[in-house]
Amino acid sequence: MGDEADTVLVARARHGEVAALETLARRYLRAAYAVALAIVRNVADAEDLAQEALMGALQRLDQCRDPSRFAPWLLQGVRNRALNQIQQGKSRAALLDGVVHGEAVEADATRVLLRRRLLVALEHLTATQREVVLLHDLEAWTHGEIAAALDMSEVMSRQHLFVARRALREHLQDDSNKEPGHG
Amino acid sequence: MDDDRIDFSALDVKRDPARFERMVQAVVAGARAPSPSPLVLALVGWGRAAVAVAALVAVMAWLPSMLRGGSGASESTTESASDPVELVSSWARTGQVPTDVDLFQALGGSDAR
Repeated sequence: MGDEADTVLVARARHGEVAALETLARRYLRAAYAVALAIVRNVADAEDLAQEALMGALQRLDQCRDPSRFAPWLLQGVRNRALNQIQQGKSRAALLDGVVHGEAVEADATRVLLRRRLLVALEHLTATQREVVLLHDLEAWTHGEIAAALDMSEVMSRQHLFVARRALREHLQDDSNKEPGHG
Repeated sequence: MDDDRIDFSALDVKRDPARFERMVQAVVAGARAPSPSPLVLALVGWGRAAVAVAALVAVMAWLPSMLRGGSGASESTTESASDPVELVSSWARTGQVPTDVDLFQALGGSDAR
Protein backbone atom coordinates (compact mmCIF):
# COMPACT_ATOMS: atom_id res chain seq x y z
CA MET A 1 0.00 0.00 0.00
CA GLY A 2 2.82 2.39 0.83
CA ASP A 3 1.63 4.64 3.64
CA GLU A 4 4.26 7.26 3.02
CA ALA A 5 3.29 7.46 -0.59
CA ASP A 6 -0.36 7.74 0.38
CA THR A 7 0.39 10.70 2.61
CA VAL A 8 2.16 12.47 -0.22
CA LEU A 9 -0.49 11.52 -2.76
CA VAL A 10 -3.33 12.72 -0.56
CA ALA A 11 -1.53 16.02 0.00
CA ARG A 12 -1.03 16.47 -3.73
CA ALA A 13 -4.57 15.42 -4.54
CA ARG A 14 -5.89 17.94 -2.03
CA HIS A 15 -4.17 20.60 -4.10
CA GLY A 16 -6.03 19.36 -7.16
CA GLU A 17 -3.26 17.37 -8.83
CA VAL A 18 -5.02 15.10 -11.29
CA ALA A 19 -2.07 12.69 -11.45
CA ALA A 20 -2.31 12.12 -7.70
CA LEU A 21 -6.05 11.52 -7.93
CA GLU A 22 -5.45 9.02 -10.72
CA THR A 23 -2.78 7.17 -8.78
CA LEU A 24 -4.99 6.89 -5.71
CA ALA A 25 -7.93 5.73 -7.82
CA ARG A 26 -5.84 3.15 -9.66
CA ARG A 27 -4.23 1.95 -6.45
CA TYR A 28 -7.41 1.51 -4.42
CA LEU A 29 -10.25 0.79 -6.86
CA ARG A 30 -9.77 -2.97 -6.68
CA ALA A 31 -9.44 -2.97 -2.88
CA ALA A 32 -12.65 -0.94 -2.65
CA TYR A 33 -14.28 -3.43 -5.02
CA ALA A 34 -13.09 -6.36 -2.88
CA VAL A 35 -14.62 -4.90 0.28
CA ALA A 36 -17.86 -4.01 -1.51
CA LEU A 37 -18.03 -7.50 -3.03
CA ALA A 38 -17.48 -9.05 0.41
CA ILE A 39 -20.63 -7.29 1.62
CA VAL A 40 -23.04 -7.14 -1.34
CA ARG A 41 -21.84 -10.41 -3.01
CA ASN A 42 -22.82 -9.04 -6.37
CA VAL A 43 -20.22 -8.12 -8.98
CA ALA A 44 -22.15 -5.31 -10.67
CA ASP A 45 -23.21 -3.73 -7.37
CA ALA A 46 -19.69 -4.04 -6.01
CA GLU A 47 -18.21 -2.31 -9.05
CA ASP A 48 -20.70 0.55 -8.77
CA LEU A 49 -20.22 0.90 -5.04
CA ALA A 50 -16.44 0.87 -5.31
CA GLN A 51 -16.49 3.62 -7.90
CA GLU A 52 -18.98 5.75 -5.98
CA ALA A 53 -17.18 5.35 -2.66
CA LEU A 54 -13.77 6.10 -4.15
CA MET A 55 -15.15 9.12 -5.98
CA GLY A 56 -16.75 10.39 -2.77
CA ALA A 57 -13.58 9.83 -0.78
CA LEU A 58 -11.45 11.71 -3.32
CA GLN A 59 -13.94 14.60 -3.25
CA ARG A 60 -13.76 14.76 0.54
CA LEU A 61 -10.03 14.35 1.07
CA ASP A 62 -10.11 17.30 3.47
CA GLN A 63 -12.08 15.10 5.84
CA CYS A 64 -9.36 12.44 5.90
CA ARG A 65 -7.73 13.42 9.19
CA ASP A 66 -4.78 11.07 8.88
CA PRO A 67 -3.65 10.73 5.26
CA SER A 68 -1.34 7.86 6.22
CA ARG A 69 -4.54 5.94 6.99
CA PHE A 70 -6.25 6.78 3.71
CA ALA A 71 -6.91 3.10 2.94
CA PRO A 72 -8.77 2.27 6.19
CA TRP A 73 -10.72 5.52 5.87
CA LEU A 74 -11.69 4.73 2.28
CA LEU A 75 -12.61 1.12 3.01
CA GLN A 76 -14.78 2.16 5.96
CA GLY A 77 -16.64 4.43 3.55
CA VAL A 78 -17.07 1.54 1.12
CA ARG A 79 -18.34 -0.69 3.93
CA ASN A 80 -20.84 1.94 5.09
CA ARG A 81 -22.19 2.47 1.58
CA ALA A 82 -22.50 -1.25 0.98
CA LEU A 83 -24.32 -1.83 4.26
CA ASN A 84 -26.64 1.11 3.55
CA GLN A 85 -27.42 -0.32 0.15
CA ILE A 86 -28.29 -3.68 1.64
CA GLN A 87 -30.42 -2.11 4.37
CA GLN A 88 -32.30 -0.05 1.81
CA GLY A 89 -32.87 -3.13 -0.33
CA LYS A 90 -31.29 -1.45 -3.33
CA SER A 91 -29.03 -4.38 -4.07
CA ARG A 92 -29.79 -6.09 -7.32
CA ALA A 93 -32.28 -8.74 -6.39
CA ALA A 94 -30.61 -12.06 -6.82
CA LEU A 95 -27.06 -13.14 -6.31
CA LEU A 96 -26.86 -14.69 -9.71
CA ASP A 97 -28.33 -11.62 -11.42
CA GLY A 98 -25.11 -9.89 -10.55
CA VAL A 99 -23.15 -12.65 -12.17
CA VAL A 100 -25.10 -12.42 -15.36
CA HIS A 101 -25.27 -8.60 -15.40
CA GLY A 102 -23.38 -7.15 -18.32
CA GLU A 103 -22.06 -10.44 -19.50
CA ALA A 104 -24.19 -10.94 -22.58
CA VAL A 105 -21.14 -10.15 -24.65
CA GLU A 106 -18.78 -12.19 -22.55
CA ALA A 107 -18.15 -15.30 -24.58
CA ASP A 108 -16.13 -17.10 -21.97
CA ALA A 109 -18.79 -19.34 -20.44
CA THR A 110 -16.24 -21.12 -18.31
CA ARG A 111 -15.29 -17.88 -16.62
CA VAL A 112 -18.95 -17.04 -16.00
CA LEU A 113 -19.48 -20.45 -14.45
CA LEU A 114 -16.36 -20.13 -12.32
CA ARG A 115 -17.42 -16.69 -11.14
CA ARG A 116 -20.81 -18.05 -10.16
CA ARG A 117 -19.20 -20.90 -8.22
CA LEU A 118 -16.88 -18.50 -6.41
CA LEU A 119 -19.75 -16.21 -5.42
CA VAL A 120 -21.81 -19.11 -4.16
CA ALA A 121 -18.84 -20.41 -2.16
CA LEU A 122 -18.20 -16.93 -0.71
CA GLU A 123 -21.76 -16.98 0.61
CA HIS A 124 -20.61 -19.51 3.21
CA LEU A 125 -18.13 -17.09 4.79
CA THR A 126 -18.65 -14.21 7.16
CA ALA A 127 -18.28 -10.68 5.79
CA THR A 128 -14.95 -10.26 7.58
CA GLN A 129 -13.62 -13.57 6.22
CA ARG A 130 -14.68 -12.50 2.74
CA GLU A 131 -12.93 -9.14 3.11
CA VAL A 132 -9.72 -10.77 4.31
CA VAL A 133 -9.58 -13.49 1.68
CA LEU A 134 -10.47 -11.12 -1.15
CA LEU A 135 -7.97 -8.45 -0.07
CA HIS A 136 -5.26 -11.09 0.36
CA ASP A 137 -5.86 -13.41 -2.57
CA LEU A 138 -7.42 -11.01 -5.08
CA GLU A 139 -5.74 -7.73 -4.18
CA ALA A 140 -2.51 -9.33 -2.86
CA TRP A 141 -2.39 -7.26 0.30
CA THR A 142 -0.14 -8.44 3.13
CA HIS A 143 -1.52 -9.36 6.53
CA GLY A 144 -0.01 -6.18 7.90
CA GLU A 145 -1.89 -4.11 5.35
CA ILE A 146 -5.12 -6.00 5.92
CA ALA A 147 -4.77 -5.71 9.69
CA ALA A 148 -4.28 -1.96 9.43
CA ALA A 149 -7.14 -1.49 7.00
CA LEU A 150 -9.65 -3.67 8.81
CA ASP A 151 -8.57 -2.67 12.32
CA MET A 152 -7.57 -6.13 13.51
CA SER A 153 -4.35 -7.88 14.50
CA GLU A 154 -2.20 -9.67 11.94
CA VAL A 155 -2.84 -12.90 13.84
CA MET A 156 -6.58 -12.45 13.35
CA SER A 157 -6.05 -11.68 9.69
CA ARG A 158 -4.12 -14.92 9.25
CA GLN A 159 -6.76 -16.83 11.17
CA HIS A 160 -9.58 -15.41 9.04
CA LEU A 161 -7.65 -16.23 5.87
CA PHE A 162 -6.99 -19.80 6.97
CA VAL A 163 -10.63 -20.47 7.87
CA ALA A 164 -11.92 -18.72 4.76
CA ARG A 165 -9.68 -20.63 2.37
CA ARG A 166 -10.54 -23.96 3.95
CA ALA A 167 -14.27 -23.26 3.73
CA LEU A 168 -14.00 -22.01 0.17
CA ARG A 169 -12.06 -25.07 -0.95
CA GLU A 170 -14.60 -27.37 0.65
CA HIS A 171 -17.52 -25.68 -1.04
CA LEU A 172 -15.79 -25.33 -4.38
CA GLN A 173 -14.89 -29.02 -4.24
CA ASP A 174 -18.49 -29.97 -3.31
CA ASP A 175 -19.80 -27.79 -6.09
CA SER A 176 -17.38 -29.33 -8.56
CA ASN A 177 -18.43 -32.89 -7.55
CA LYS A 178 -22.10 -32.03 -8.08
CA GLU A 179 -21.57 -30.87 -11.63
CA PRO A 180 -22.67 -33.25 -14.40
CA GLY A 181 -19.81 -35.40 -15.51
CA HIS A 182 -18.09 -35.23 -12.14
CA GLY A 183 -20.28 -37.68 -10.27
CA MET B 1 3.59 -15.77 -4.11
CA ASP B 2 1.39 -17.83 -1.82
CA ASP B 3 0.62 -21.27 -3.32
CA ASP B 4 -2.49 -21.63 -1.19
CA ARG B 5 -4.03 -18.60 -2.81
CA ILE B 6 -7.61 -19.01 -4.06
CA ASP B 7 -7.87 -18.11 -7.73
CA PHE B 8 -10.27 -15.16 -7.80
CA SER B 9 -9.30 -14.07 -11.29
CA ALA B 10 -12.85 -14.71 -12.53
CA LEU B 11 -14.03 -12.05 -10.10
CA ASP B 12 -11.12 -9.69 -10.75
CA VAL B 13 -12.21 -6.22 -11.75
CA LYS B 14 -8.85 -5.85 -13.53
CA ARG B 15 -9.43 -8.86 -15.76
CA ASP B 16 -10.37 -6.41 -18.51
CA PRO B 17 -7.62 -3.73 -18.34
CA ALA B 18 -9.40 -1.36 -20.71
CA ARG B 19 -12.59 -1.51 -18.71
CA PHE B 20 -10.67 -1.04 -15.47
CA GLU B 21 -8.98 2.01 -16.93
CA ARG B 22 -12.38 3.45 -17.91
CA MET B 23 -13.56 2.91 -14.34
CA VAL B 24 -10.50 4.71 -12.98
CA GLN B 25 -11.05 7.62 -15.35
CA ALA B 26 -14.72 7.79 -14.36
CA VAL B 27 -13.71 7.98 -10.69
CA VAL B 28 -11.18 10.73 -11.37
CA ALA B 29 -13.66 12.69 -13.50
CA GLY B 30 -16.29 12.39 -10.79
CA ALA B 31 -13.83 13.43 -8.10
CA ARG B 32 -12.87 16.51 -10.10
CA ALA B 33 -16.45 17.54 -10.80
CA PRO B 34 -17.27 20.66 -8.81
CA SER B 35 -19.30 19.82 -5.77
CA PRO B 36 -21.83 22.37 -4.46
CA SER B 37 -20.01 25.20 -2.72
CA PRO B 38 -20.42 25.62 1.04
CA LEU B 39 -22.31 28.87 0.32
CA VAL B 40 -24.88 27.05 -1.83
CA LEU B 41 -25.26 24.32 0.79
CA ALA B 42 -25.71 26.99 3.48
CA LEU B 43 -28.36 28.76 1.39
CA VAL B 44 -30.21 25.48 0.85
CA GLY B 45 -30.11 24.91 4.60
CA TRP B 46 -31.39 28.41 5.29
CA GLY B 47 -34.06 27.96 2.63
CA ARG B 48 -35.40 24.92 4.44
CA ALA B 49 -35.43 26.83 7.72
CA ALA B 50 -37.20 29.77 6.07
CA VAL B 51 -39.94 27.50 4.70
CA ALA B 52 -40.45 26.01 8.16
CA VAL B 53 -40.69 29.47 9.76
CA ALA B 54 -43.15 30.63 7.06
CA ALA B 55 -45.34 27.60 7.70
CA LEU B 56 -45.29 28.34 11.44
CA VAL B 57 -46.25 31.98 10.87
CA ALA B 58 -49.10 30.90 8.57
CA VAL B 59 -50.44 28.55 11.21
CA MET B 60 -50.18 31.22 13.90
CA ALA B 61 -52.00 33.71 11.68
CA TRP B 62 -54.74 31.23 10.85
CA LEU B 63 -55.24 29.97 14.38
CA PRO B 64 -56.98 33.07 15.84
CA SER B 65 -59.46 33.26 12.96
CA MET B 66 -60.24 29.57 13.45
CA LEU B 67 -60.74 30.09 17.19
CA ARG B 68 -63.07 33.03 16.44
CA GLY B 69 -65.11 30.74 14.22
CA GLY B 70 -67.64 30.06 17.05
CA SER B 71 -68.54 33.76 17.49
CA GLY B 72 -68.82 34.33 13.76
CA ALA B 73 -72.62 33.87 13.73
CA SER B 74 -73.28 36.80 16.06
CA GLU B 75 -70.95 38.98 13.99
CA SER B 76 -72.91 38.16 10.85
CA THR B 77 -76.18 39.02 12.59
CA THR B 78 -74.86 42.42 13.55
CA GLU B 79 -73.53 42.88 10.09
CA SER B 80 -76.89 41.98 8.51
CA ALA B 81 -78.53 45.07 10.06
CA SER B 82 -76.61 47.25 7.65
CA ASP B 83 -77.18 44.92 4.74
CA PRO B 84 -79.43 46.74 2.19
CA VAL B 85 -81.13 43.52 1.13
CA GLU B 86 -81.90 42.67 4.72
CA LEU B 87 -83.09 46.22 5.33
CA VAL B 88 -85.47 46.21 2.36
CA SER B 89 -86.72 42.76 3.39
CA SER B 90 -87.48 44.01 6.89
CA TRP B 91 -89.43 46.95 5.41
CA ALA B 92 -91.45 44.51 3.37
CA ARG B 93 -92.11 42.24 6.33
CA THR B 94 -93.14 45.00 8.71
CA GLY B 95 -94.96 47.10 6.10
CA GLN B 96 -92.88 50.06 7.08
CA VAL B 97 -92.68 52.72 4.39
CA PRO B 98 -89.09 53.92 4.12
CA THR B 99 -88.45 57.60 3.97
CA ASP B 100 -86.26 59.20 1.36
CA VAL B 101 -83.48 59.42 3.95
CA ASP B 102 -83.82 55.70 4.73
CA LEU B 103 -83.57 54.85 1.03
CA PHE B 104 -80.60 57.17 0.58
CA GLN B 105 -78.84 55.67 3.56
CA ALA B 106 -79.57 52.13 2.38
CA LEU B 107 -78.19 52.86 -1.10
CA GLY B 108 -75.33 54.86 0.30
CA GLY B 109 -74.43 51.92 2.56
CA SER B 110 -74.55 49.68 -0.48
CA ASP B 111 -72.25 51.97 -2.46
CA ALA B 112 -69.85 52.09 0.41
CA ARG B 113 -69.26 48.33 0.22
